[in-house]
Amino acid sequence: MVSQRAVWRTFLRDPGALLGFALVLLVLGLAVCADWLALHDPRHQQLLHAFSPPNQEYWLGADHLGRDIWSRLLFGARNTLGAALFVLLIVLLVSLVVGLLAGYCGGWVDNVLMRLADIFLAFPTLLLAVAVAGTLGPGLVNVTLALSLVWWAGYARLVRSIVLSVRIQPYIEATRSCGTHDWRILQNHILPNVLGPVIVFASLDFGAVILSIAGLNFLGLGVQPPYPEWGAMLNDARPFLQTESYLLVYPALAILLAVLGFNLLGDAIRDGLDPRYTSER
Amino acid sequence: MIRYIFQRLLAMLGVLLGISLIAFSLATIAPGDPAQMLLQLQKGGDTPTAAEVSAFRTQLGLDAPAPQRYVRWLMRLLRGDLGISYRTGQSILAEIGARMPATIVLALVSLLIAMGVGLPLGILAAVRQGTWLDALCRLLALIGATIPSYLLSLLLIYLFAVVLGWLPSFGYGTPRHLVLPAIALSASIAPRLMRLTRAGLLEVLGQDYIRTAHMKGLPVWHVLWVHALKNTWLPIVTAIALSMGGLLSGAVIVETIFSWYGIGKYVVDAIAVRDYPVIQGVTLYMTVMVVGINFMADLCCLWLDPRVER
Repeated sequence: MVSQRAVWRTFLRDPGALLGFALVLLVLGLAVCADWLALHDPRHQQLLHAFSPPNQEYWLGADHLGRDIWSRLLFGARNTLGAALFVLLIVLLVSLVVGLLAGYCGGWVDNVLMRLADIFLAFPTLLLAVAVAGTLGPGLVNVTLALSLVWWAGYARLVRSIVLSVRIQPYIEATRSCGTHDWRILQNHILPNVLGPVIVFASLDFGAVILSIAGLNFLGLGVQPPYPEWGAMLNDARPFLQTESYLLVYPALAILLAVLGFNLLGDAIRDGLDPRYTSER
Repeated sequence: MIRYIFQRLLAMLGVLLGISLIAFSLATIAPGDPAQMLLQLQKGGDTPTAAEVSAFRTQLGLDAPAPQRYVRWLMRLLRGDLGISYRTGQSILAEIGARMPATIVLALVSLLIAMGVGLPLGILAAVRQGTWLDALCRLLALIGATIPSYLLSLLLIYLFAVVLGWLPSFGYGTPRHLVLPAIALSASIAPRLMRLTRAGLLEVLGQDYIRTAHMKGLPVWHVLWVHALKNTWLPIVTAIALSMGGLLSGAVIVETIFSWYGIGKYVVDAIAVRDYPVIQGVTLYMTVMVVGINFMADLCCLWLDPRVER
């Protein structure tokens, strides 16, 4: 185990970690405070102001329907990041249950669950997500469900492998020979060992989940007009690439900065919690 | 060896069966009544009466319980019948066949670009580990992994089609149309190939027999090509095979942006008009293809290194 102070020290010394932390804080802050920071209703159209350049009323200008881009970015952050958070929460929940069951029970339970995971892992990830979201019909909830469905299997494998390595430790055997109930062993002794690596994995994956959510929204599978979302905003800007190409810049920057922030922070969390990686990289 | 191949084959059959089950469930969660959609198609767009629909449903066997329908559907599948498209009334397999060459060309060219960029940079980064070259290569990989294909596609279109006017911004037909989508698609897998090449080579380079080869006074390039790379091929071949899934997934987005006449665009177009059998058919087709490619990669690894069998 690493002491908490050592973790903080590595964290504060790493400029990438600090930049990532700042970016994540900024993006999350903007999403949370969208109600106060937005100058307009993100859905309100003012066709007279369509393609308006940045000015006092429209800080970043207005889009093709005269909607305030700044406000749309803020509320779009809520949809993009919120959906990404939900995907990871669902994935963690499902994979913890499946992985703990498979790893701890072993035998046919393990076999069935892991073969199921194999099947989901065989699909090209995004293709299955597109197919499921497309079949369920457009909507952010369906996109969230579709991505959770394709994302859980890898995590379940990870949880299972950790459970397998912990289960054979002598202290678990000792606990069990004391007559501790299986449920209690899982909860008090195995789960804490699993949570750390899984959370590190999830933080490394957050950027990828954001990209997938924005990608499905870009294809028109997620948030429906007039509601804002970063990927959907990119798609809205696509027809005006030739004439009003700046429309593309804001959602693109939002996506890139958010993903960069989460990736850097994820790397830092991994380095801090798992010092084995630091020397290697 | 035969035993190993047989075991892998058996495991693959199990996975394929599971895939077919999931694809079948995909059709059952689809809203709407297939009988009504198909009958409407047969009648040239006229809305059929409720009695006609119900008779047609019995005729198609859609009244049967789910397991029975699954077995029948699977039997048709094995004969190569993926059903017919709600939109065009054509056989889905034939429509996939018509679009498949475009997707294969795009995927192969992207793979070649990704290998052409990823492998040399990975080797370079490993050989010059810890130098600015290594740092630069890893920075490039980080950027490549951060920019999603849809964003890169739009940037490429803006730069090369709108500003410079060198290449067409979308369409299908000439080699010029292929350049931008292939680059956009390759960027999604080149960074991974680079990282895996670097990591694999670094592991090999640290081993004793490499040091022995150096001590024997062999030229550096000889040690690299003859001694080190031979043992790096295994993870690289696996990585290339695994990237096929990513390529076909990425093709869904890239083909849509560039209006490339492949099956990625086919499935997105199908989603727009709620053509559920096509969504199901393409998903199944592509996944089976990916599973097949991975199986062949397994065989390839076995051929490269018989120790894989264990």
